[in-house]
Parts: sequence; structure tokens; C-alpha cells
Amino acid sequence: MNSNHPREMLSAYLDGELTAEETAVIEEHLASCEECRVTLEIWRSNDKLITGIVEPASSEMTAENIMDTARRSSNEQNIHSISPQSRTAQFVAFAMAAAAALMLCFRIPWDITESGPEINSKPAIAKPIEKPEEDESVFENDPYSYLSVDISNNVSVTASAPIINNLDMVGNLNVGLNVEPMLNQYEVILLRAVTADEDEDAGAELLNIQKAAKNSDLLTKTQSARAFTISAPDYDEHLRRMEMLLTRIYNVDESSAKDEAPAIQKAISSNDLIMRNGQLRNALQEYNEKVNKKAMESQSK
Amino acid sequence: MPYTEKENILALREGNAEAFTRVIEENRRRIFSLLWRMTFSADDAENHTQEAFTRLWEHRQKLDPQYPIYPWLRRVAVNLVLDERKNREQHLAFAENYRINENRRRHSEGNLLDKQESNETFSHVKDALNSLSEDFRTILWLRAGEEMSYNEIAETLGIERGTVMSRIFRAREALAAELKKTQEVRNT
Repeated sequence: MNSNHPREMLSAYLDGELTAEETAVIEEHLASCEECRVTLEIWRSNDKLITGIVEPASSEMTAENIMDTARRSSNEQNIHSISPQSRTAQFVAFAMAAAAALMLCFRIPWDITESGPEINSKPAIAKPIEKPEEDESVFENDPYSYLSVDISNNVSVTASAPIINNLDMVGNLNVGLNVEPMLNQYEVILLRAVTADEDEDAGAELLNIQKAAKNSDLLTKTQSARAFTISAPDYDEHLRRMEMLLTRIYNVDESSAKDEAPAIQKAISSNDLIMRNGQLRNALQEYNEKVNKKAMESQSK
Repeated sequence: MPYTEKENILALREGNAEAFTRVIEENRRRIFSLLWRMTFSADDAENHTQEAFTRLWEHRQKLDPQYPIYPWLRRVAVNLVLDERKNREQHLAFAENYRINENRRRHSEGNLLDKQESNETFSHVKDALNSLSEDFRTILWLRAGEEMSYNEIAETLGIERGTVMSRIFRAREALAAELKKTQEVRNT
């Protein structure tokens, strides 16, 4: 039916978006086609119906509330971009933020009982991890072991639940929400770690961070890199900080860091991995909810 | 004495909180309305309204006093919804692989009209809009409510003008069909 009636043009005609020639064609058609005249009128009155709907009142929003929240959240976002006086202070500041992000990422236990984390200088270059077989029982039994997603470029990322669980916090670091109480705890240790190598406790924490980092993949690096390069004023500074992150925290050697930094930067700008992290988290959350619900149901029986 | 928008923008650029409040006051209802019509969720509309103004504050120094603020806010607001949906959809696609997400769709079905008093005159229009995709709802509102040109819509949504034209057409057809359906149900 529509092939005989230029409906798409009719719609554009209603919106006044046709050229003079097209308008003439449509008007000629309208003169001889009642069906299209009716359609035009229906569309016209439907447009009016749409604008006649009244939205609900946004009860809790006053201009003052909006302003307060806007200013507060953008100030918090700049917590880690306050420019310190010296280069050393600068490094300490962003190393703290980065490492805190990492630790939040991994939820590193302070009383780690595993002995002697190995640190070597082998570059922790991100590598594709093989996707686990799609065996649902594995997932059902242990969602903490394997959650994987296909990334568009056919690389698969496997992440463990502790990382996923804490992505919120990394996200919070990025947008500067309320992680300060938590941060403070880590910052003290981290500050010691990066300033005093002879401090045994701090040294141990640093080792833990490095160990966790060593086991990580591009996904995690991207998160933490984003968290602490977000305030960098330009691309070069981004890369410089990223290299710093890779060499100091991830224990990557300098030349590898130079190679890897742009790749991570690219991932950050494409936002791909970060988004996928969010997906993993949501999936896990849903899984947990489902499990909890099942448990509740069986309890009530 | 009332302030002109240009004066507000100049003061806002300097970080003047009062000017910011005035700008919010002048734009928040329209932005909320736009967002609600896209999402049909008062909660989402409020959250995105807040976020849009937060972005405005963050980008205040880049504002050009020669241009009105509303189109800038509108573009940000529309893209907040689009970005969120993109995340949601990709998440859903992922979750479906593991069959762990059967019935959790935050917006699309059922509860879109939360917190909304049912208004008899327009309830069937709302039902009809509710059953349309967010894309269709959005583009119909941008055209009919915001009275934007095809070029403006194309720029705001980041799509071709030809796509705008065909999407509006398809949205109109879909809405008309839905309204006809509800009409028939009522008449029986």
C-alpha cells in the first residue's frame, strides 16, 4: 500500500522539511488521495496529543539542590587533581590514587597469609586470556571464577569476582563520590609505601599491590589507569602517568611500559573495557540476587 | 532587575553560584520534561537532570555567551539517556548469554508510568507511547514537543538527516497503530 503513497515524504511535509519541488509533488498527490489526507490529519492530531501529556512534577528537585549537588560532585572529582608543589609530591599524590584504585579493585586483605609474593621484572603485558568453555555448570557453581565477555576485537577478558565487586569503588574514584573514608585508610599505607622503602609493612603492602597487579589484565589496568590519569591536562601527560603507573605499580620495565601505555590509553578513550567492566559487575550482581532469592524461597518452604 | 541569559552565562563562567542557580531555575523544568518523555521514568529523569546540570557546571568555562544554554543542555540530556541505554543493552546481550537475566528490564515494560497519576484524557496516549521504543518516543518528542528541525535532531542524536526523516515517519506510523489498537479495545 505504502508504495503507492509517499508516506515518508508526507511525514516530512507535515514537518515542513521538504524542498519546494517535493512539496509540490506531495500537494498534488494529496489533492487526489483521500487516504493520505486522512493519514496526514491523524499524524497532525497525534503530534498534538503528544504535547498534551503533562509530565509529573519533579518534587524533590529545587534549583538550590541541583546546584549544591552539581558543585559538590564536580569538586570531588577534582580531589586527585589538586596540583601539588613539587614533582615528588605530584608523584606521591597520583601514585596514591592509582594504588588505592588498584587495592580497591582487588580488595587486598591486609593480613595476607600467602607467603612470599613473587615479584620479578617480567613485563606484565596484557594478554588475551582464553575464554572458558561455555559450561554453564562452571558458572552456576562458581560465578567468582569465570565471567567472560567477548570483546569486539575477539579478545576475551576473564575477571574474578573481587575485581568486579569493587568496580563500583573504582568508578567512584573516577567520579569522586564517597570513597574518602576508605581511601584514607589506604592512603596512609600507600604514602608510606611509596615514600619509605625501608618500612617493612609498607614494603609488604607494595608487594601485595604488585602481586595483584601482576595477575591482572588489561581490563584492570585500564580501570586504574583511567582513575589516575583522568585529571591529566593533555595526552602526553596521560601517557607519562600511565608509564609511571606501569613501571612503579605494575612492575613493568620501562621500554614495555612505553609500548603498552598508548594501547591502554586507546582502550580508555574508546571506553570499551570500562563499560564492559560495568557489565560484568551487573551480571554478577544479578547472579547474586538470583541466588539470594532462591535461598530465600527455599528457606520459606 | 531580571538578568539576561547572557549576563547569567558570563557570571556562571566565573563560577558565580547565584547565576548558576538562575540558569538551573530557568531550564530545569524543560530538561526534566524532555528526559521524562524519553524515559517515562520520573526517577531516571531526575537523575539525568541532575547530571546534565553537573556537566554544565563542569564545562561552565567553555560556555559561549553568544549562544543560549538550553540547546547545549538538551544535547547533553539526550545523550545521557542514549549512553545509558547503550550500556544497558550491551549488558543485557551479555547477560542473556548466561541466561541469568530473564526478567529484569529496568525501563522498557510495565512500570514506565510510575509515580504518574493516571490522567483519563491522555492515559491511552501514554499507553501507546509507552509501547513504542525509546528511539521513537524520543524523536517524536524532539519533533513535536521541542519543535526541532530535522537537521537539529540529526545533530543532537548523532544520526543522518535521512535517518531522522525515516525514523520520524516510522514512529508516527507506530504511534498511530498503537492508538488505533487502544481505541479498538476501548470500543469493544
